[in-house]
Amino acid sequence: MKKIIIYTFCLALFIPNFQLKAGGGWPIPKGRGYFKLSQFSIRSDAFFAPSGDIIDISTASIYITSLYGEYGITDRLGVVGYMPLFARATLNEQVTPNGDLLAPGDAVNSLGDFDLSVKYGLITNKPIVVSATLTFGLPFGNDMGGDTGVLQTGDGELNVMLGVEASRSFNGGKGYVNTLLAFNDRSQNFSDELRYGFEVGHRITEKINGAIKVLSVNSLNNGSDFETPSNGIFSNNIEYLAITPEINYSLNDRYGISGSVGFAASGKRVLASPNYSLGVFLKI
Amino acid sequence: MKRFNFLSPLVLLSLLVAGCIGTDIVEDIAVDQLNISSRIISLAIGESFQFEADFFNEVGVMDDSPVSWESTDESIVSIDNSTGVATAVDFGEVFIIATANGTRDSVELIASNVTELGSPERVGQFSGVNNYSVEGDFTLAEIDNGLTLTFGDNFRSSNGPGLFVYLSNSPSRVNGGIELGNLQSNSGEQTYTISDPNVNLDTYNHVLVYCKPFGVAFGTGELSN
Repeated sequence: MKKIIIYTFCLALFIPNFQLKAGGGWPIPKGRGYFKLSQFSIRSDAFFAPSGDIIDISTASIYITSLYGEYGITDRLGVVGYMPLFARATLNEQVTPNGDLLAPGDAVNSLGDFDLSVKYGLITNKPIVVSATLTFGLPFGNDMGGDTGVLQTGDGELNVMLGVEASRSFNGGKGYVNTLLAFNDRSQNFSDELRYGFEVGHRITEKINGAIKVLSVNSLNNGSDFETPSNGIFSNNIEYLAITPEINYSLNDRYGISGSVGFAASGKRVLASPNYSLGVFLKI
Repeated sequence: MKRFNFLSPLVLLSLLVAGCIGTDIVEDIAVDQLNISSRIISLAIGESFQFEADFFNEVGVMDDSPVSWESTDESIVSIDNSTGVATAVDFGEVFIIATANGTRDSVELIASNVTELGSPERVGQFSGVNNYSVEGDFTLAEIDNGLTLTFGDNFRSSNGPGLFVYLSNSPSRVNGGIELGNLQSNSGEQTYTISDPNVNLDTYNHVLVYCKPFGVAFGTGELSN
């Protein structure tokens, strides 16, 4: 049976604000905002090798508590931030069936890599709205953590990503479609990336919205595996096709709960297990 | 207060799922393997030579299982079945066969006028595993009281977390192999010294660049000759 796999923690670490979201091509109105406190987790003993094959690895995990926020400065211009305030990466110890220790376990706790973005509405008064987002990926995470020095809560490089999102609503505003195209310019010999995706969402009940997000991350393979400073097998030339169903439940006009499970149909250099995310959001 | 109530479950959930370090039980099953570890090309008539062999069990670990020996032609080279001491009797060529626990290995031996030992070094070339990039030549050579493994100046390896160098009898696993230390550099010439008296030129047949923490082979190469 073909295994359906999941995208890695790298997705959560390095590109979360380009997971398509309800904002999409719509700019954030002046004085309005959306904030979400989330817990993300992934634990996997399987890995998409650079060949795309799934191989067994020592069980690795990552847990991230993050704050995500969007805020409108004007009706066209807004700021977006993703701040992983606590990131924990672990690696299981390895023992023989007799209990002999082969390799000790390891863990690291730190901040994760932050993303700070500026979002501008290019087309705002048409059925199809378009916005552009410029994101700076700030390497606040640890790319050589733990006693082994191999655990990562970040990739150690500053990247700049330019994305364009186009969206339109349908069914009287109950549903929406977002599309994304983005170029991620990575530094320090990491390969640049081309990302594209789409999201379809619809109101299920008065309080429940559902969405399915599809995101493809593709390396341009113009970096160097030999020369990247980071020592992570997860860092460079990461590729995946992620499928993420999400449910949002509105408790009232301001607060709600959001949950999602991420799956990946294919990938390279990413963990191959489901990831889970649960959060509470606030709309102002 | 209302806001705090919203956040509390999330904080508690975070604490619950903020994982502890778990334990993986590694059951690395290998195939029984027997390697004749003596290097000789020819044996002078009337002279004797002590053959040795290393047996690796189903988990890849060397053990002391008894080895039995035979010659394909006792009239050319005779060999003691239990000790492995061979004596050249007459001119010709034979195969010396070692057997242990149902596994076997063999080497060719010439009975002639001179005794000639095999080359004191073995060579190989890396190739990447799972599309990781590892390339370059390596040489395993005998020195006084041990061996050295030297990577050529054309050696290059992808960066990776916790990369180590191993000698192993598997092209992709290191169970039962010997760890030679951290990969010193991901490019260029480098040398590793093996002083374990139980390891000689023919004990292992593969060299691996291996991500030890995650248990993933990056590159492998077979020792030839």
